[in-house]
Amino acid sequence: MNPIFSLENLNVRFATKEGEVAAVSDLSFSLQRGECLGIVGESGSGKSQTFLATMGLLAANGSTTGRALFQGQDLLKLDRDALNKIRGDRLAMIFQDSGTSLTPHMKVGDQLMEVLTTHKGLSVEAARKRILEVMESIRIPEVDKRLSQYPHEFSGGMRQRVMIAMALLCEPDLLIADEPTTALDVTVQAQILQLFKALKHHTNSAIVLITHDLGVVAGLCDRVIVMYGGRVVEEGAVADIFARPKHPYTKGLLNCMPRLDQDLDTELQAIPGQPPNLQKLPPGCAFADRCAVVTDRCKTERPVLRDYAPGERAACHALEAA
Amino acid sequence: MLSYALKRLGIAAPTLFIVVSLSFFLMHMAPGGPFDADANLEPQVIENLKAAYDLDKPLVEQYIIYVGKVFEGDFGPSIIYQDRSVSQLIATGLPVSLRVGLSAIFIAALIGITLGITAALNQNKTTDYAVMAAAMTGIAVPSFVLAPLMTLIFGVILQMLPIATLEPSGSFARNFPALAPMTPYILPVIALAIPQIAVISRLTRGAMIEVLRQNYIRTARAKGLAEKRVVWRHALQAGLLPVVSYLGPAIAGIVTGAVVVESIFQLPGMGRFFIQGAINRDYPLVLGIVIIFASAIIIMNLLVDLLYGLLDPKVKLDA
Amino acid sequence: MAFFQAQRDAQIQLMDAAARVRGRSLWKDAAERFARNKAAMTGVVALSIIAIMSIIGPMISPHTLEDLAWDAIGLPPTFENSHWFGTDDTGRDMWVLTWYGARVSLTIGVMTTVIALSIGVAYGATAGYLGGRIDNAMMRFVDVIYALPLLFFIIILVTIFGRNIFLVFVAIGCVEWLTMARIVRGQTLSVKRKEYIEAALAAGVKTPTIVKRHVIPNVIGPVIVYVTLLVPTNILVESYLSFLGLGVQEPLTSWGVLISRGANALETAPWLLLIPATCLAITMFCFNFIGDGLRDALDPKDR
Repeated sequence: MNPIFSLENLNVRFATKEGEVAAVSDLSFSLQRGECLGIVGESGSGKSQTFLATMGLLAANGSTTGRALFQGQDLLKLDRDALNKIRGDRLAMIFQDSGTSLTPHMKVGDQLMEVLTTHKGLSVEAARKRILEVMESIRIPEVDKRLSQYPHEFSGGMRQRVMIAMALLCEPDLLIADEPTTALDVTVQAQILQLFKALKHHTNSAIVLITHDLGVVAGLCDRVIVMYGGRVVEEGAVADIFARPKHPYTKGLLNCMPRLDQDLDTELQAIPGQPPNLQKLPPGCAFADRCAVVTDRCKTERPVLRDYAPGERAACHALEAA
Repeated sequence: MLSYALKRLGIAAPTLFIVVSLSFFLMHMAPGGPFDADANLEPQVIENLKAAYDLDKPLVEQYIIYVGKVFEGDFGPSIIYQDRSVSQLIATGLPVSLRVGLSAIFIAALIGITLGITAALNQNKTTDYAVMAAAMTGIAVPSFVLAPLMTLIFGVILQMLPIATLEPSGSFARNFPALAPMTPYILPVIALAIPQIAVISRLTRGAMIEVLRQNYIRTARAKGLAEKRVVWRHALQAGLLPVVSYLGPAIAGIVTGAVVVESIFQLPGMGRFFIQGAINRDYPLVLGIVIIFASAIIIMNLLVDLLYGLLDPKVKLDA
Repeated sequence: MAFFQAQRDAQIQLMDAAARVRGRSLWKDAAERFARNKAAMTGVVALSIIAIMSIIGPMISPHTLEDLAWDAIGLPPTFENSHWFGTDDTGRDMWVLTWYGARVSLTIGVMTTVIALSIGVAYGATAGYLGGRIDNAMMRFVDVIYALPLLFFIIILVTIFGRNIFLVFVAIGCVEWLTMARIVRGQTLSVKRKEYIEAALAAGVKTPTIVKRHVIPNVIGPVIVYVTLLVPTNILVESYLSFLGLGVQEPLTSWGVLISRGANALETAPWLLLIPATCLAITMFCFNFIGDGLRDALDPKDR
């Protein structure tokens, strides 16, 4: 089966006064229709920039190489008009921080409406019907009144629902959700996650869930990619990664996650050290400075991604030695 | 929205009252009156004159009389322009000043905003640098330098436009007879508008760049909207808020600028009366004009506040 | 107890050290960024030249302010007789006049800014520090007079109390402090609410130390930027007043006075306007470039 979306050697670079920043390096993976992929990493690991690049939303000083194939088209090569036909329609993105991601001076209804009038050419009446349908499906009460309100009249959770509704209006083939629950209360987080679960069951869309929270991944995703310093360090099925993490960084992430099946006495272990400086990435493994099983080789030679089982990849010298 | 408007009005009214009082007492704190310079006058004549202008009464009484008359639109007689009341002078000067001032503010906003948006959309490109260099020049060269230079170039050397008269003349008026009545105002309006164009374009550029960096612009682009719609529908309204806030000070700037420009172009507007009055210590004239100017500025500020309320939906709640 | 005391002391020392390190590198960074800004550095150099010329310019010339060259009235700029900037319609040497004018204009610009700075900082800091209802009332007052044509009040003051240069100083200074007060109040308020101030307070750092280490460094940046923009504004205000004949009076001169006289003789002797106007414009450019440079250096978010 052809993947619906695949990245081939994606590199994202930012030109700054202090030199080039390598946000994403040699990133490759693919995604099947109906699949839910989790992308996990700390801030600065390149997980958001990867998808902003795909959507053509990089800051002005950003540049890309490689290919981002979506339904056979390389998104990175499309001009703005061609890209505008795809994004918002077949390819949609939900952003974190809904508080600043909606235009403050436009009524929420208008912001939803323009998606449908732009992509589907619907009449105002038909568009309104579709909006009501979607808003109901994600349980936004009093839709009629809500549509004529401004974003600041919404609560954080409601705004995030609006963002989700906006992305779902055209029934996209690929839905990218960038930390959709980060800025929310725990209870609201749970509701939004519930929503995603329902979504996953009811649509045939592929979903990418970007998060730093492994717990979110465990509940929703089929597969997970762990990123560090702009590269993939491990990839695999969710069950496998949780049961048998390979890369020391993945292990570290799992160790600093509280678990119900653990004794309360067990101390959570934070990963020591700081995320790497993307301006001066070391020649070896980016994680070397913080790694518990570091060797001399790790500091000079970058480990390559290797397959360890079907669908299971990791990049670590320690694994090769074993 | 209504309560917001009322609240703004509630500030405007006392402001005007403060202006009237402050100007009145300042004027009357002055050592020496308007007739001191005329050493030729008999003491008795001066007494009579003072009585005629109520200057012999206690200050507070003069104040009460004055405020009462102002409410009826009577600003008293002018001292230097004899046989004419201040109200008459204002009636002749105000239309000229309004025509010049309003045209200048309109042109400044229109051109300034257009230039600012153009620069912001071409950030760090040649267009941007050119607009910003021009704006910097507009700020560095004050209107009282600009005005004489323009007079020289367009009036004297090129003979295009009339100077120091309200009669249309010059090659521009001959070539475009339909626009001839406007010609006496062109140079004053440009001289007044240029410094404001400079400030407004810089402000607009900065605000638009800031707005275009916002998350909601990213959302709008992610929706696949055409760039035009992103700029005009999603960015512009927020980008204009700082410009709208600046319109208040801009109006004050144009009013002050008008004083010089009217003097240079010898337009019979309020500014010229004001300077004449100030130099000759014509208290009633100066007071009357300050009150009119201040009222104009306060009214314009009120309108600006309401405009702000329309552009920013959050203001409705705050009020 | 002793343990807590020791721990607290250690905490205070740590925070102090952190503040010092941060403070020093912050200013050093800013200075480096500023030095890299070509426009701003050009501004500094050009302005220094004008300032130095305002002092030594008149000394270089063989002419003095009082010299009236009857044989050289309305002379264009020439090397003959050392009338480098020409002479005006009474035969006075424009070189000498221009640099004397620079002296007066720059002095007024700086002095009025100092006055505005003192009033503005005192007022704004008081409002911001006291907060609450007093702050509200104080800032409402500023809002109200902000909307007024303040130049007119200067004009009224000047006409009433005579056209005296010191009055011009005081009048401009007394009127131009409003924005300064707003800036200082805003900064004070925002600094007051910052977590690190609460942390410092909780750790027992004394108020004067907090003010010295945290409040002043945070308030000073925007104030410096505004000062570099206020000096040229005030020079312009003075020129404006002098142009109208309400500011500096003869025989004392300023760029405004010279521009005013030049404007009247524009058709016959354009250099009388162009020379002082160019000096004024260059000064405006310099201050604006320096102000922009300082803003970028102190608040590097636009990089």
